Formats: sequence, C-alpha cells, structure tokens
Amino acid sequence: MELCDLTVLQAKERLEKGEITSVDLVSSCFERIEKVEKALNSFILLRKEEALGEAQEIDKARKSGKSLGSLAGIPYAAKDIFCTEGIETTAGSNILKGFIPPYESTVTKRLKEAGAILIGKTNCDAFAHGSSGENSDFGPTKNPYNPQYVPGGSSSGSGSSVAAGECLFATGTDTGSSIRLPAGFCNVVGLKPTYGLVSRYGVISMASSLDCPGVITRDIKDQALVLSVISGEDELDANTKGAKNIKNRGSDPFQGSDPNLKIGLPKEYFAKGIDPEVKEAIMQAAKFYENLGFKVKEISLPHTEYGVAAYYLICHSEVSSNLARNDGVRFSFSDRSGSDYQSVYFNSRSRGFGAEAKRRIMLGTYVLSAGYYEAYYERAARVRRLIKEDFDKAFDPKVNDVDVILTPVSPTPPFKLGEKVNDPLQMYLSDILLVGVNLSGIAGLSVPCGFTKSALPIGMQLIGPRFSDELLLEVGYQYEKEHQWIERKPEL
Amino acid sequence: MAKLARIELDKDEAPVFAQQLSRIVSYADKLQEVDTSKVEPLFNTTELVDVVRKDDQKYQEPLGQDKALDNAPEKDKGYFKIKQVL
Repeated sequence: MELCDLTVLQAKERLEKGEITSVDLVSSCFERIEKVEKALNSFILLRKEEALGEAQEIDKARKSGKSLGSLAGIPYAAKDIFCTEGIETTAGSNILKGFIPPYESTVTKRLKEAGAILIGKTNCDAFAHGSSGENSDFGPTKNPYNPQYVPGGSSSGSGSSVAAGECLFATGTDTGSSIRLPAGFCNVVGLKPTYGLVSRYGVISMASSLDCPGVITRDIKDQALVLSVISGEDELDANTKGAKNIKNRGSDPFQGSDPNLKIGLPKEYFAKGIDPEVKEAIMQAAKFYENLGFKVKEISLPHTEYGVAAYYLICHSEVSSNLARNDGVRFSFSDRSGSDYQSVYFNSRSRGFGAEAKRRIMLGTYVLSAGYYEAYYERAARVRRLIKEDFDKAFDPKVNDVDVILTPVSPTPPFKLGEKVNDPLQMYLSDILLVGVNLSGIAGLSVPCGFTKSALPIGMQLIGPRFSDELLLEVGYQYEKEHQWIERKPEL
Repeated sequence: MAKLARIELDKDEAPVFAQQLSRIVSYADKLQEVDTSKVEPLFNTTELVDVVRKDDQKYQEPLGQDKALDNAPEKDKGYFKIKQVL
C-alpha cells in the first residue's frame, strides 16, 4: 500500500504524529497519477509544482508548531465545475476553455482554509450533463476497475481519481445522480447532501433548484471529516440558511447508534429491469441490517416511474436559463467572425457547446416557451411535489414510519463506454433510482456493497429526510465497518 | 427552437437532434397520466422564505472593474466590447 491509498483520516493521523510529511503524500499522489492517468483521464488540469510548494509550506508550519486546519496537508482534487480563483475552470466544456475565475467557490475556499491541498481539477461531463462522463469535451474518463466501462457521471474524474489513489478525496456535485452514481460505479463513498447543507456559491450552475455540492471519499469516516469543513450556513447562498455543520467523528465514530431503526425497501425500486446481481447485493445488505436488530419492511413510493420525466423537464428548463450567460460577450469562448452582435451569440454558442448542452438548452427552451409551459414545466413541478410527498409519507411516523430507505444506486452495474452515447433517453434512465432524492431536496448516500462476477462494483443507496445526513452516515457506517469492499483496490 | 436559444444547427445535426428530442418529449408525455388537478407546483424544497441580510452588512469586497473584465473576449476602456447592434 502506498501513501496515496490512505484514507484522509489515516493520513491526517500520520501527519500529526510526524511519521509522514505532506510533501510525501502529494508526491505519492503524483507518482500514482503518472502511472494510471493515461488509462483513466481523471483530470483536466494538474498543478504539481504548486501543490508541492503548498505542501512544503504546510510541513514547515507544522514543524514550527503552528496550529493547523483540520485537513492540513491533505491532497485533494476539485471537480472542474468549482470556481478556483486564478486557476482555469472549464466545467468540462470547450466554451469555458481558458476561463480563469476571479473568485473562489465557498467549498474550495473552506477546504483551502482547512489546509487541504488542491492537486488538480477533475474531468466531468460538460456542465455536469451526463451519467457516464462521456459528455466531457476533454474525452471520457474510464472506470479504474475496468477501463472499458464508464466510471459513472457526471463527477466522473472525482470518482475514478479517488478510487485509483490519484488523490485522497475529491469534490463533486449532484444535481440528479452525479456524486452517487460515480461513487457506486467506482467502489467509493459519495453523499448527495440535503439541498442547502453545502453552499453552491462559486459552483458553475446546472439546475439551481437541484444542485448539491459534496464530496467523494474512500470511506464514511472521511465523509464526516470533509463535510465538517464544507457544510453549514454560508451568507453567499441563501438556501443554506439554518443548515447545521456536520460533526467530524474522528477515528471511532458513531458509537451507540440506535439499532432499533426502521429501514424501508421501496418495491418500485426493485421492479423489472433490475440486474439480479445488484438485487442480490442489496438484499444481502438488508439482511445484514436485520441481523443487527433493524426492522426492515417493504414500502411504496408510487410516483417513482414519473421521476425521470419530471426531473428532465425541470432540469433542462433550469439548464437552458443558466447557460444563457455563455453569450461570447462577457466571458467564455467567442467567435467574432460574423458582422453583427447576433452572429456573435449564434456562432459562439454553436461552436462552443457540445451536443448534450445543445440538447438540454433546446429542450428547456421548448418546455418554457409560451403554450408549453403549463403542459410541461408546470406539470413537472406538480409531479415533483407528489414525488416529495411519497418520501414524506415514507418517513412520517403516522404513515410508513421508516427512518431510512435502502435502494440500489443503479439498476445495473457500470455499463460499457459507448453503450448509451447515441441514445440520450437510455442515458437519462440510468438515473432512475437517484433523481427522486434531488427533486425532493433530501439526502442520499452511496456506499459500496459488493462486486459482480465480472468484478464490477455495486453500490447501495441510503435515503433519509431533509438534514438526516448524519443519520445516513451513521447507518452506512454500521455496514461499512463489517464489510471491507473498499479494500478491494483496482488493478491498474 | 434552436433559433430561440441562439444556437445554429448544421444540416447533419438538425435531424439527429429532432429525432432525439422528440423521443425525450414523448417519454415526458408520461406525466399526462398523473392527476395533478389538486396539486400545487413545487419549485423549491427548502421552504425558506425571504432570506435577507442586514443593510449594513457586507460579506465580500466587490470584484472591481478590472477583475470583472479579466475574462472578456474583447474590452475597451473598462467596457465589454461587442459587434455593431444597429
């Protein structure tokens, strides 16, 4: 095992004891990157010299006895959708190539203040539009467990880099699946936090009523540690009002958690189309919880089948509005070959945006246009309420009365590169078990729960009500500490 | 639709997009099955109302003109420069 394979918490303890230096850690990550990056394409940008310089500074400060932040000297990567002041941020798109943000996102600012070292910006589907990583304008990322398969998207490079030891943790964003799917496909842990728990400030907007920044880590203790730094109120994002900070639980977390919790299995999530190996892995997990003393029962979320349709109408509407800012005038790629200002808009956007962004912009524009607004957008928003009410009823002590819901992350294991690229609808349906959580603003945690016979990772999802994020970590940890899936490293 | 969204499609692209988008729209027609006559639309899940800061509070220094224009493709005397409008 190399240093780059340590969890954040293990690395932190060894740094604090003086057994290793931050320079050792950063160097180890870059050695791994040199070895595997060609096969994986996890990164859009790397900053080796700068990261080593920052690591030296932190080592020096530690030696002189200065008090340091809780992530001091830990190398991490940021999805290239987080604005980093003075460091190119492309959102995985050609149209933002060369964009140097004049300000820092709240998440990366807090990580920097805690002493974490940014080693690079990770690859993603352009503007986070995708479930496979294949919509990146910088080429697809590959799954470290088998490079012929997708790593899941849109935080594709974040999932693959954490799994492959290129960094110790990575930030991601989850608008419809984009933290949980790559976590599930890459055998790592990812939480889609409650909407409003983590500030969106400085994250390039996809669909603002759904966007949730978060992190991908190797285990649940690391989730708690990193979330303790990035979560909580931020004056720069009004939706964080009232959000509490997640507690860092250290190395022996979640003692005394209540085994008398109730877990619901929604029957619609196990309906036709689910892969038998995936189903078996989730049922094993349910059995495990039952043996611990949890009560497990079947519940119903009757509007599940409408989730993807409602999600895509709402999401694409917000996308078309948010991407209007890329006009070739104020920032972003600009084609000035035409003769008037209208041609600047048309040429810059037509040449700058990739196919998926164009699809979403056109669909969103259609759905929001006069005459279609009520039939599509508003109807989707009404169905959104019904989907949220399904979850409310599941958690309501007077109705279904469960504490958490257990589901697969995806009905199938990772799929092959190229398998769904020409069929956008099939690609959208990869998110079928994940979008309900986003539409409802609640929390969902993706935890590794096995491998298929062909050695591809399987993930389970734990869902809880708004601000149940700590409960999910607690319940997930009960499983994680008795299952060592995470020890099974990719062979690269 | 492309025109409304300020996107120009070439001859090869247009039919592919048209076919893909009409498949997605007809999939979304599924929502017509749901009785939503008594349901209010949901646009935000936080249930927060009017989050405001105090008038005398300032959280951040403004960017300043130079910094705000740093990424402009073309600029002139502190302004964004664009092609002729009229």
